[in-house]
Amino acid sequence: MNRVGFACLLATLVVLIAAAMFHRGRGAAAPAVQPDDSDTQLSSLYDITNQIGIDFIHEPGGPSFFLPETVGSGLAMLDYDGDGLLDLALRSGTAAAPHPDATSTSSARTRLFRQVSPSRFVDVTDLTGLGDRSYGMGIAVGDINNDGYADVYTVNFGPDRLYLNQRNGSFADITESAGIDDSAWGSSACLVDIDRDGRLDLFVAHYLDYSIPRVCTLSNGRVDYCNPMEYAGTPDRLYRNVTNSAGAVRFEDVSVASGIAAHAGPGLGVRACDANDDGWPDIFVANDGQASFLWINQRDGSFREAAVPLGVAYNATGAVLAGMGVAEGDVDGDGAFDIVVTNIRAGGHALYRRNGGSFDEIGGRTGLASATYAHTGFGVALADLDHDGHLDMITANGHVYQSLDRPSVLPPPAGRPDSARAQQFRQAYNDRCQLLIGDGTGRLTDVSPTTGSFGSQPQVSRGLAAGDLDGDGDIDLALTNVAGPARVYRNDFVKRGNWLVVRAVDPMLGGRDAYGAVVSVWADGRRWIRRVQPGSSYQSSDDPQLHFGLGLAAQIDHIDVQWPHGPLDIERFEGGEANVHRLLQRGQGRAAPEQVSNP
Amino acid sequence: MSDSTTPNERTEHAAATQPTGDAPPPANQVPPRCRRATWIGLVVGVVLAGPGAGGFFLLREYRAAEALRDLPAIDVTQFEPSLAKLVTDAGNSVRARPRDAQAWGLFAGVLLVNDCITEAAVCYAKAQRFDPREFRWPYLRGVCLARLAPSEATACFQAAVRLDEDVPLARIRLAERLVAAGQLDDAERQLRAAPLVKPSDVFVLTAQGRLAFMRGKLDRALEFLERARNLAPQSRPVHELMAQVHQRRGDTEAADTHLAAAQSALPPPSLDEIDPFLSELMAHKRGPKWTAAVAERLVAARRISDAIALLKQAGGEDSPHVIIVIMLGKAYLRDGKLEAAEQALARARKIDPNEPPLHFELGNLALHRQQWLEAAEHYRTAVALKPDFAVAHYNLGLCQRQLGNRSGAIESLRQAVRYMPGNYPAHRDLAELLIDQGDWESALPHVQIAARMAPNDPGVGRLLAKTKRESQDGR
Repeated sequence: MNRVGFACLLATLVVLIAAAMFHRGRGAAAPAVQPDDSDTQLSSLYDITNQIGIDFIHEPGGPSFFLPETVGSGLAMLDYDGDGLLDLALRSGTAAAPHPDATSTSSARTRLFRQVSPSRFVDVTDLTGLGDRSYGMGIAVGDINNDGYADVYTVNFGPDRLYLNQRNGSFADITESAGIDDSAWGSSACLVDIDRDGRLDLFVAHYLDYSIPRVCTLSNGRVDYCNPMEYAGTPDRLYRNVTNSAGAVRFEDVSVASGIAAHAGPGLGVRACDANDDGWPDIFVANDGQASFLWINQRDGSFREAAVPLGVAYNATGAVLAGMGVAEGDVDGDGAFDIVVTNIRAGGHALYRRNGGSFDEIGGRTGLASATYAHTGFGVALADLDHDGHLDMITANGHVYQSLDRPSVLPPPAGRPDSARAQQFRQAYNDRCQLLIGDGTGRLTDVSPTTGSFGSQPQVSRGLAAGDLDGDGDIDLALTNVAGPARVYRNDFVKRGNWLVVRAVDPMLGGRDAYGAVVSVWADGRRWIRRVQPGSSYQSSDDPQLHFGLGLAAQIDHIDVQWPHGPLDIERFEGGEANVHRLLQRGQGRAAPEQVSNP
Repeated sequence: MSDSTTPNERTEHAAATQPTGDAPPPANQVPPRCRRATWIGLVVGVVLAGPGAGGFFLLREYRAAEALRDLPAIDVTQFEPSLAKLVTDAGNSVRARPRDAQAWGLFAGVLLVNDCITEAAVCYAKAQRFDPREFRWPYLRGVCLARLAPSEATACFQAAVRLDEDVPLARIRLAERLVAAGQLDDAERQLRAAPLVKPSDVFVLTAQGRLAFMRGKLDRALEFLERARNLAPQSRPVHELMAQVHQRRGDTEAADTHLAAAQSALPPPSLDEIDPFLSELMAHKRGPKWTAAVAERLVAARRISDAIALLKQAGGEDSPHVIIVIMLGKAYLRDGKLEAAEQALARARKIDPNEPPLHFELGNLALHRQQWLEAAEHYRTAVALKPDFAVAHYNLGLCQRQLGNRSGAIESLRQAVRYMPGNYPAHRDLAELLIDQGDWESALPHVQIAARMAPNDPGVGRLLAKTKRESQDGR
């Protein structure tokens, strides 16, 4: 072999070796790009949790794939002591029984934080006796004995509890004596006067028959929380308030007699509404993986389920929602209440726009569905955060399944605590909350990145409550997180208009909030409507006061109130300046010229 | 040598210069200079061919590596063994033929039907790259993305429709995405162009009806839905939509009629279930839970022989999974094959004796044989294992009634009603027993409930008549 040939062969070898090295380098997968969570933007929703003294960490037990861990819990904004300042009640799960990995050392319970002065809260749980140690889900607030003080119903995985406000800063557990016997897995509840007799009745949405917890795997072997369709849904419960004039609180289970129990479903969210505008409350139930229910009040103590014909059972494509949270509001400014329902990732939330006597689902057409595909929504509120006169939508988001494009994260084995691994497991369900600004036509635009930590903090959120927590005339927010801190956000939006906060009460009913009342505010030729119904969102209860963003209207023409019981007359109250808190007491207005004709 | 030499002289000279003893080369042989050049040429050729071949192989290696770059890494350690093997083999096929669209497509199909949807979408994208003319790749990728990122699925379905305009399912799915995105005009165009062929024709007409309804064209909506109903008289979605349309028109009576029809209709097949592209992938589906769920649906739809065939395919009585064997027993029972059912359930009992559905089916088996005592025992076991097993309570009540244990029957039926208040037979039977006992006051609410739920039930009618007689007698 001559030198030339040898040199060529050597060159070939060099080239081959170089190519092999090149190939190995190119064959490796590029590392995944990690999202940048740093937040350097100004916050329109400012996290004031620590500042105001709310020190609450949700305790779901585990971690494990025990399904209730990922379902609860909610919270309530309420003024339990009647001092004019909103307080906060926060529900928790527990590591004690009925958690299958029960430990005896869990201190988790419902906690009540009293607002002792504007924006300063103190834990008064022990003083008030509201520390329910059940595996907490939802909470409903309302004055069940018409004494002017808010009472509390806690919905649990296990027996629910009813707490009567003693009017001295404490509560008494009157569950048994009141005739409440509900051990099914409940989710959300609301107090609503179904028979217009002036007494608040109780509706409880029930979730699943989870009597045999099991570990669920997908076909690919990944273990995760069970799909709710692995279990049967259960009928919801309706209790009629039969408290007599002597004041002994008593409820009667009318679930069967009312027809409510005829349909079983995996109910998660509930909202009392009036779908046919007849002045009698109807009840919407968001079911998880099944058609929603809309119970139409037949005005004789019974209800008829009519979600399908009224267009709220499915979304626009006919698909079932994994319905969780529900809120009601006039999103498109046409003077009729619309309904929003949150949904699971890849589903898109639904917006049911009122159309005459029924509804059209327009989430796709308004951009809501596409803006929410990537998220799993639970708590939801419709409120005008920037006072431009249009309702905005806020959702508390948190996933229920781990993302399929990442390796599965398993919890540490039971009995072998590993806090780092536990945290890693919980974080596999992180999502980000959302704020969507409404333009008054039904279109909702996602502006979450501008909200600061609210829209950027990864967390597994569930309950959401909205209300004027600091009394400054705008809507603040509070939410709960699975195995994480409850958070309170102050509304720091640059305001685009004026506002009004209304509290509608009935002196004949102990001065309590008139649940079910529809309040219309007229200003500058426009009309804004709200319904007094704190039971909303997901497992939560809002501020019972009604907040109105009025846009540029600085002077209110008049305020109409359709009261929820008694004659279906509208009472008119004088207008006045905007940017005030108004107390509307039934009987202090005058009959409005336009009256609803009795059905 | 001078040119003046003669040929003979030249030959002589050549001969004189040859080495001694060698014969002179024949006139037709390659001269030495040419041989050298030939050798050099050969060596150069080989040398050049080396890098050329090397380059060829290098390029092939590079292309293979590049093609495999996005190959999903599937952790099969948690998979069932048969699934793990299936996924591994399919992945190896891709490694062996990294630029083969069929290999990528097969791998994607295995992943899709076994819930590795993200990975399946990646593989379908690769298959599409290597065979951009095959309809299935963008279509099935769209099916994947519709479950992950619905807004991205639209482009996939659009590509599929461009490749084959005559596949109705692609147009239906595309129309769904367009409706979800609020693009109603585009959705309508797709549905108008979709061929009406079985079994997807019902879906096309239903979707057209839904679109017309969304646009407020109620009469047009009803036209489409009537056509759909003619094709599928028992279709629940069709009846539900018709109820909606009639309600919007103000005809509540018609709405109620269709709603009642919807509620009594059997669950219709879903789009996925009639999708032939997905159906052919189902051969790759693994997992006892899926098999049992499908079998349950088939039994509910009275396709019992199909259910049995499916369960046998999954191992039948030899399956190590108790849900498969219980389901097989149930299917045999529904088919009237009592001995086969008994055999299957006995096998299931050996696998796991504490499954409530097992004891429920054992009770049903005994019930079929009118062995009331044995049936009651099994139902008792079922409710002991699962206290809110409403149907088991109900059946226990029936057995106790047969055995003459009225108080036990009443208690069991009370439990049945408690855990499933919508169960009107339980209300009816409980009311009967209470009336027999003379307890009219307790019976009356149950009579009323049963009457409201099932006014046409003969048993309920008898109860109502009895109640009316008693009230007329002034009791």
